[in-house]
Amino acid sequence: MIQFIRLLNFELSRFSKIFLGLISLVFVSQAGGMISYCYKHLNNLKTTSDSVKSTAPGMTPTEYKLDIIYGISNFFFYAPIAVGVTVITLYIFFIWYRDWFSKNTFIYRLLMLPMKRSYLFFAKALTILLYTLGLVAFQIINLHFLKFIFDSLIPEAERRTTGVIDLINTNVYLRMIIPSTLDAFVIYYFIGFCIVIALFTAILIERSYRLKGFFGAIVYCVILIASVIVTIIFSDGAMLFPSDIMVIVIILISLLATASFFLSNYLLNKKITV
Amino acid sequence: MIQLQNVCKKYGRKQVLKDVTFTANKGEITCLIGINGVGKSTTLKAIMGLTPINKGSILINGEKLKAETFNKLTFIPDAPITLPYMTIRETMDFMSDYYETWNEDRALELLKFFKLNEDDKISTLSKGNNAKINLLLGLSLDVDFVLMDEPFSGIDMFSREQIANVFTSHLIEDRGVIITTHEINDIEHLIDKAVLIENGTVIKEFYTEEVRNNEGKSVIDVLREVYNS
Repeated sequence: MIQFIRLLNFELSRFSKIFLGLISLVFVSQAGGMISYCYKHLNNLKTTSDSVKSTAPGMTPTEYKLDIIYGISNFFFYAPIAVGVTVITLYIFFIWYRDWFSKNTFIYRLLMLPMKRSYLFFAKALTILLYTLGLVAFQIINLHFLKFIFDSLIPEAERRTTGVIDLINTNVYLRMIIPSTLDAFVIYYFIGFCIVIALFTAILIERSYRLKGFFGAIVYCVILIASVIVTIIFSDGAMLFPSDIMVIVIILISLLATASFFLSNYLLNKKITV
Repeated sequence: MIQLQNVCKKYGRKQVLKDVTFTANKGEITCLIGINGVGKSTTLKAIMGLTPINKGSILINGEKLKAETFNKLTFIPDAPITLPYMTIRETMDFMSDYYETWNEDRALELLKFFKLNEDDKISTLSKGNNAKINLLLGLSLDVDFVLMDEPFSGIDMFSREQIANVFTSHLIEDRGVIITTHEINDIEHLIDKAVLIENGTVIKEFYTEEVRNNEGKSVIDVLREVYNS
C-alpha cells in the first residue's frame, strides 16, 4: 500500500506545477473580472441612481441594485473554467502518452517497478480525480472570495444579497461542475471517474495493439457509449421513473468501469508494448 | 537462471522471434550477438514483460514474471528512461523509494566511478552520461540478473572503456548479465557465453572459453564462420 501511495504522490507531483498554474489563472482572471465588473457598474449605478434619487433620496430601487450573479457571467469567469476543463481532459491522455513519447521513455521505469502494474493505473486515475476535485474545491473557495470582493467594493445599499449557494444554483455552468446536493455531487464525479477508467482502457488498447488498437479503442468507446444509450432508451420505454433509470444507468456504468479495469489490468500485464 | 523456451514474437505480420531458446545463468555474462534488427532488444523486452510474446515460455529462477521479479532482475535499455527535470540525486531517491534492493553505497560508488555529479539535471547530460546513469541505476540494485541493451551504442571511445571496465569490476559481482551488442570488440574478452541470433532465431550458442581452448578461436572468428557460411 505504501508503494501505491508513493506512486500516487509521484504522479500528483508531476502535475502540481500545471495545477498551480490553473488555480492561479482561475484566481487572477475571476478576481480581476469581478473587480472590473464592480468598478464599471458602480460608476454606471452612480450615474443612474443620481437621476432616480431625485424622487427617492438615499434609496436605490431593487431593480437598480447590483447582483453578483451578473458579476460572474462574463468571459473572465468562464474562460479559466473552460481552460481547466480542457487541460484536465487533455491530461487524461497526456498522463499516459508522455511516458512513451517524451524525450525520455519513462514508461520503461514505471512498468519495471516492483509492484502490481494495476497500481500504476489507479495512481494515474486517482491523480485525474484528485486534481479535478481540487479545481472544483478551489472554485468554491474562490466564489466566496469573489463574493467578498463584491461585498467589499459595492456598498450594502447598492447590492442584492445573494449567497454563494444561490450563486451556484442560478448559474447553469456552475451547476454543471458543482451539483447542488451531496448525492448528485458523488454520483456526478463517480460517473466522471468511470469515464476516466474507460478512456484509460481505450488508451491502453491503443498502446498494446498500436494501429489496430487505435481502431479497437474507438470501437471500444462506441460500444460503451451505445450500451449506456440503449439501456436508457429501453428503461425509458419500460415506463420507469427517472430515478429508477438513473439507478440502472449508475449500475451499468459501474459494471462497465469494473470490466474496463480488469481489461486494463490484463493489457498492462500481458499485452503492453514499449 | 533465465530460461527462454521456443519464444516466438510477431510485430504485425513480421515474425521477429522464432523459437528462441537459450538459458542465462547467474554469475555468467551472456551476450546476444547479431546485426541490427534481428530481435536482440525484443528478446530482452520480452524477458522483462515489456512486450508480449505469441508463443513459448520465459522463466526467471523457475518462475514466470511477476511484480516481485523486478527485485530480482533489472533492465538497462539503450534509451534514457529517467525524467529530464530530475537531478541525478532525485533519480536515485526515486529508485530507493521503490526498490527494496536499492544499494545506496554502490550507487555512490558508481557515481564516483563514472565521475558524475549528483546535482546535475538529467536534461543537461550527454548521451554517454545518460547511458552511464542507466547503468548506475541498474547496477545499484542488488539483483540476480542485469539485462543490458546495447550499452555501447552511440557512445564515445572513453565512455565505452569506462563502461567496459564495469564488467571486470566487483560491481558486477556474481550476478548474471545478459547483454546485447552488435559491436562485439568492446566486450569480446569479457563474455562467458555467446548466443548468435539471426532473423529472430538462435543459430549458435556456445561458451567462449570452450571455443577458445578447444578450437583456438575467438568469438569474432566464430561470428565470421557463421555469417560467411
